[in-house]
Amino acid sequence: MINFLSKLLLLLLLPLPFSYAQLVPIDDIGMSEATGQAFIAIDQRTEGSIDFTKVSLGIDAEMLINADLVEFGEYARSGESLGSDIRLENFALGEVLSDGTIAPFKIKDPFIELAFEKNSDGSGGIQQDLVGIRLGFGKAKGAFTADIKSLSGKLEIALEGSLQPIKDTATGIAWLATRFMSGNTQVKSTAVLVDEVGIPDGIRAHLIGVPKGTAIECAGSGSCGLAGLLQYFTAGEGFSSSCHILGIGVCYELSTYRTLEIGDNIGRDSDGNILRTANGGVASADYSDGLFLSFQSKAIEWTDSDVITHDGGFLNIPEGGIQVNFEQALHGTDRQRTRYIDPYFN
Amino acid sequence: MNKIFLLSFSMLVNVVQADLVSIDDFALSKVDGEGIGLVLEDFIFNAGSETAGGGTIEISGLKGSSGQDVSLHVSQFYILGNGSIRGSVVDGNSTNIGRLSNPFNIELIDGDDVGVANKAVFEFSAPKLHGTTSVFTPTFFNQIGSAGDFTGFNTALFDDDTTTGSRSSERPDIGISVDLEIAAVRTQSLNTHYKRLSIDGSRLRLWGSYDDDVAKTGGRMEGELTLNIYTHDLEFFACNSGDSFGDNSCGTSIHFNDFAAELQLGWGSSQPATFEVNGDGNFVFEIKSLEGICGGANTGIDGCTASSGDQSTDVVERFYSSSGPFSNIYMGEVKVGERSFGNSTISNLQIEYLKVSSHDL
Repeated sequence: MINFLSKLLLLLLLPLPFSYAQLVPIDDIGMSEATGQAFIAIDQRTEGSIDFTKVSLGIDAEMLINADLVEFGEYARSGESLGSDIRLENFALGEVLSDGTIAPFKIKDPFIELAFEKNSDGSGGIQQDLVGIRLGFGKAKGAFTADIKSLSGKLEIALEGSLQPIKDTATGIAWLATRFMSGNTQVKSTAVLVDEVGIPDGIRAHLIGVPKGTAIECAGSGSCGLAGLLQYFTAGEGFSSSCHILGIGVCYELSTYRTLEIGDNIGRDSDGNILRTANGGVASADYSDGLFLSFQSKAIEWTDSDVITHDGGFLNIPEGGIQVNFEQALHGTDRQRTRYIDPYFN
Repeated sequence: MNKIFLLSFSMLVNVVQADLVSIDDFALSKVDGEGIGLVLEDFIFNAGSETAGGGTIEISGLKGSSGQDVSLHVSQFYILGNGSIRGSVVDGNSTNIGRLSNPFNIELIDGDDVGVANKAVFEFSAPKLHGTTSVFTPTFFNQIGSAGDFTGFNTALFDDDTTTGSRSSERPDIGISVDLEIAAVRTQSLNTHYKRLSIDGSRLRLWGSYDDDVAKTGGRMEGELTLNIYTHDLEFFACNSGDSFGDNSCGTSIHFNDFAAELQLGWGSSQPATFEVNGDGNFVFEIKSLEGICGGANTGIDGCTASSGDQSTDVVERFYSSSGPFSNIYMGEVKVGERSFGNSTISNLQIEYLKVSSHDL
């Protein structure tokens, strides 16, 4: 039986084997060697009456994520039939390739930015009213997949490819007009968020199309024969009706573009199809600038962006990063696999 | 006396010779998980601005993108009872961090119960959710044709005086006010305030693992983090440097009202999360990729289920079921100034792979 004295001595002795190490204050030399990685940068700038404070993060992130629903700004909005500023169903970033490997969506140097408006405080001073907040993805590339039910913001898709899909769908006067044009002729245009009559409208849009007053043009630097005549017929004007050029529909449901490959200089063949590797991955692409999501109470031109946002939720998908050919424009883009068990695939 | 020396000597020898060995299933089954509870009752924390040469919290060494020095001076950091009015009501306004009947908990649990087979798991957990397992009702779980509006949000957690009244004293107000100094000029005071913050149901689990379990090489720590954040109001606003809430220079705010986030990062040993710091001082946080989970070529519309029928198939099926890892985020109202932008939702977010690494800007 251990008596009290034994227990006491035992308690005193037991810590001894562990007491060789000692915590000592770090000295100045040691402290100066602590690098304190500067992966955060903070900047301020003033533009007119707006001050911006931007916190940038030195972060590289790659991901494959899926969500049933991503919805921002669900509220009644005057003059709009859709219920949300942004509603993306079956959303995903990144994709699963045919051999089971993941092609992640990549972002580089994301940031958070606040916008302040300097207003009178009513007593001769200035107060800083917070009028907007922005989550920026920095540089981004990869597959952006969703059933886009409602989109507020800016999405610009470059349409470029052979004339053949247009010829195939042309009827009436358009059929006659395109009979003598070569199907191999490369033509181009630009599609933006529009309303039902082809007027550019970036608030709660469900259509993307060639805006009223815009033509399909010759893509090459030289002559493209009779297809060059198309430039004289613009969407919604002259011989064309709303969302049509010579009877050819040029406005499309956003939800038919199920996967959009974001990135600059994406490798493409002569028909505008993305060049892919054997397992289905995008063969080559650079990062694209400008993907961001913001909320603001007034129109704001954010730092490092020439995009002027409107009030409400705003998703900016980078200009020039997305291109489809006319086959895809007319019939949509396939959905890439984004889950290992994927009920939505293709 | 001889007995004392003999006992002491033998105990010391035992300490030196002790060796850590894996705990076997039989022994593990006896781990009862009592753990250690942590509770801070009548807690007040309020770090204010510098007074009479006293210390303050300052974060320096940051840079702007053009190289100018940036410092953050914390002018107020508080954890107070709810109703603090952005940290202005301090005296007598205490809060409880946990309670004896539902404390923060540190314990060792049986990994077999939490998806980490044959291992003991360290768990640090916040108080359990009160009266409900989640504030969300899962939505449509990857089923074609059943996508509908997100209506599953349960606001009971915010109704202090009804279903969860007994816990209202455990939801503190937390806030921080920071003076931003750029190139030696204090330019702005940035304020962040949480009203009635709760992290109930959050937990961190950690366990050890090897690249090669047989050779015991490539040892590392793995884990999973369940992070729940509920707050009645997350508010940001700014003032002139040195000013604080109530001063004229403090303008309109951005509010995220009834904000709830339930995030699951990592999923047992099937998809562990790791956090490491590289030799160059940068961190890497990773949620393990599901690559290879099918056990075969992944072609065909049914993906994994078409190519294998072994245990891995079960894992992937569970991953995409309601028992898999998923995250939800809900904001009852986003308000910028006086403009309301309604509610926002991210529903049933699943992470098949995530890798985040830092670098110098």
